[in-house]
Amino acid sequence: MSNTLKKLATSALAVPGMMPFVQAQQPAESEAAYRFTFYSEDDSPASRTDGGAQERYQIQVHQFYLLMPYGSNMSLDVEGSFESMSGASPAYTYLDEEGVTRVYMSGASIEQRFDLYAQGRYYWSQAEAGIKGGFSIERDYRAVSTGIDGSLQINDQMTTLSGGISVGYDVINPTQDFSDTELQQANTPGRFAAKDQSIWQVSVYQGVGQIVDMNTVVQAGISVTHRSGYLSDPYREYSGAVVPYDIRPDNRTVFTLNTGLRRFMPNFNAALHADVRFLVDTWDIFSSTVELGWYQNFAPDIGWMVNNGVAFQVVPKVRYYQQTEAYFYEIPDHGEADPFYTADTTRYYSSDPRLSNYGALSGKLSLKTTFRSFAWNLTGERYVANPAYGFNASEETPGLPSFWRISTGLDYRF
Amino acid sequence: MKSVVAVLVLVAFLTGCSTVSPWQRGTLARDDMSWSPDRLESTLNDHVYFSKEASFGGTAAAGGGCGCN
Amino acid sequence: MGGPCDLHLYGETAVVEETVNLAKAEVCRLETKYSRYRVDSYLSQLNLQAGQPQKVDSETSGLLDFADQCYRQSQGLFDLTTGVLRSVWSFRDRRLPDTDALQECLRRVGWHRLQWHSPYLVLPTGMELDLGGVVKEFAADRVLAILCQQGVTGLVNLAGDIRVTGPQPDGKAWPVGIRHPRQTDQVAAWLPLAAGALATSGDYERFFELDGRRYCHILNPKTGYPGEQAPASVSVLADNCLLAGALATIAMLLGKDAESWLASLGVPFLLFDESLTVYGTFGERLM
Repeated sequence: MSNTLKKLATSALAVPGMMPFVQAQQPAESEAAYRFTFYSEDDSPASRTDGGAQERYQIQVHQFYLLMPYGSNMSLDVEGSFESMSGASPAYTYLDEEGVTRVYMSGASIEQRFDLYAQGRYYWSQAEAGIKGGFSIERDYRAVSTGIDGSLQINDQMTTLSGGISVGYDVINPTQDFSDTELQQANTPGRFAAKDQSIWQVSVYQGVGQIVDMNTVVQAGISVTHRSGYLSDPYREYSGAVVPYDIRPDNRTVFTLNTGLRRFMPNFNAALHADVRFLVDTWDIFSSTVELGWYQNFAPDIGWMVNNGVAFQVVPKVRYYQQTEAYFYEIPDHGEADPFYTADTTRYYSSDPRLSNYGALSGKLSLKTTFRSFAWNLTGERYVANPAYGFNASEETPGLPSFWRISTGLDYRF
Repeated sequence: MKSVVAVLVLVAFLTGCSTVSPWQRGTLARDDMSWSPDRLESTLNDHVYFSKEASFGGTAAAGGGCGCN
Repeated sequence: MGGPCDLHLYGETAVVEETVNLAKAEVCRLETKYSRYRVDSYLSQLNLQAGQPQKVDSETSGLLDFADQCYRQSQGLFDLTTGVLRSVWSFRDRRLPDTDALQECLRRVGWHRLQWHSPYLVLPTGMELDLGGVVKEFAADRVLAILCQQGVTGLVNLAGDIRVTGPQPDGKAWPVGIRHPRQTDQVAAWLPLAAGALATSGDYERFFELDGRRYCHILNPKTGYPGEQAPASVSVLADNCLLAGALATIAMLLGKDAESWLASLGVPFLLFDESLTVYGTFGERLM
């Protein structure tokens, strides 16, 4: 660009009111959405379970969302969910006398969870800020959290800086099967130890987004989360062990680095999404997550469809996840001693498969059908976790989940 | 030295982005170009993966806890 | 705004109606604020206070800063103080101004004569500001900003200053016709406009012919006359109307140097010289 033109162009854009601010803007419409999800885990392989509960673990979730513009530069939104869970989940994993890895499944009760979050946001021409708060309630677990976040557009609105901080407080109150304290401790040592324990969490995020060209935007961000309190799993217990079968450090600090790309392909009328996350924590877990999505739009050029704003969107997604094991992950050898842990509470151990070295693959397909101001969504996901996917050929980790998930629901803009 | 190189690469990258005028940003404002196009799906994704894996968070300050992990 | 204005919008009826009302209100606001015909307009108030230092509002400051930059980059050709020359030129009576009267009048013309230290202005007594050269373009840009804020796809045309939000919803560019400078009811070229703004300046808007020469209303502040060998019309494509309009106006004043100047800037343009030969870098020419 010639110098003359550059000076004139800059001066023209400096006139107040010349720049239309498309990015940082209060939502123009209200939105309401409902989603129902059915989640079902595969059966645990019978040969590897030792006779405990084996029912398929299933969850049904109802989700609600309502967003309303308020005044000329604010918005309010409320999001809630109601979850009911049933079936067995792995309580502990061990090596039996023959050196075979077995998992003991526990619980067949029906649990329910309800959560509700509310948020208020304020919009300026090149910035926005939000404050959020909410809670989650279960019979044996209550959590509250609150946070603030903001973003600022700089560099001709080409660059967006964003940041946030949140604080959470959880209280654990595991169900106790015995009214007598001594019996509780003897039979349900994990739950006994966790009684009335709590967890504090503080999390900070900072990110930067950059417009690359008319069709491309990228972002990168880092976060640090510190959790402190009773982080062991109260239900991972072995009756007769005296001490809980799961003792984790009382704090954990997690660092993440994430990058993302959104690129619109005008020739295909589709958008490519790519997200990568790396995570490292003080439990020696390192994980990486890659997610790719393709948002393919179809708008049939048929009279009544055009008039009624009928459009379709098909979204295939793949996700790959891999993690290393926590330094205290260990499968107790019941061939050596049963129970393996009897009195030692000074060192950390857990056989939670979620702390093992494994990988997971997931494929997802969504269909969104838009009609006037309504959108109907249908999504299916298949998720499979396996040590081999995490390049771990040497260990077996029964209890890693594989599941199907189906969601459907309606969005409405008004 | 490594960080200098990284900074230089970043600067070169940012200056390589010629300004996209506001009127050229219609595409970027599309729903399917947003960081999380479906609010409820994102929430449930975070919830499910958080309860099945040792990892969580990444794109914002971590949210509230639950008894699922 | 001195010419036909139209909006072409795509969107839901309610949103489109609201957008049209907002656009109308904005154009009226600017027309009222910068009208030189209304004694009570903001511009007239500024002109009435000539001789005294005055503080101008931020919108006017932005426009005056832009005009100042245009003045510098055009070696003094783009000048918002040439309005007083209207008192000696009479396009209706088709006659040249009296030389003495013109010389007298030129003493009251010249951006360099006023003191402009944004946002403070001292306009020497007897001088006048005429924002006609930037306000119509600015109004088109403001309407476009409203379209963008409303999330509406569309084309704005304020008497020949055209700007689009982007391609049409089907992804196609907007076909924009460029008027023939002599047969002004005919289209001389088609331009597919997918982004940005198009402004045209021509000698056919207000003019008279005398002794085989055409005298148009775009006057050089140094001579008080229209540019020598000025193009018949110049169309320029740029990011916004303000910029495109100023470039087209400067090109008209540059006369025979218009084409080489536009080419040196690297902006897409289409130019008809006085013999109607076409030069330029865009458009599907029909003639």
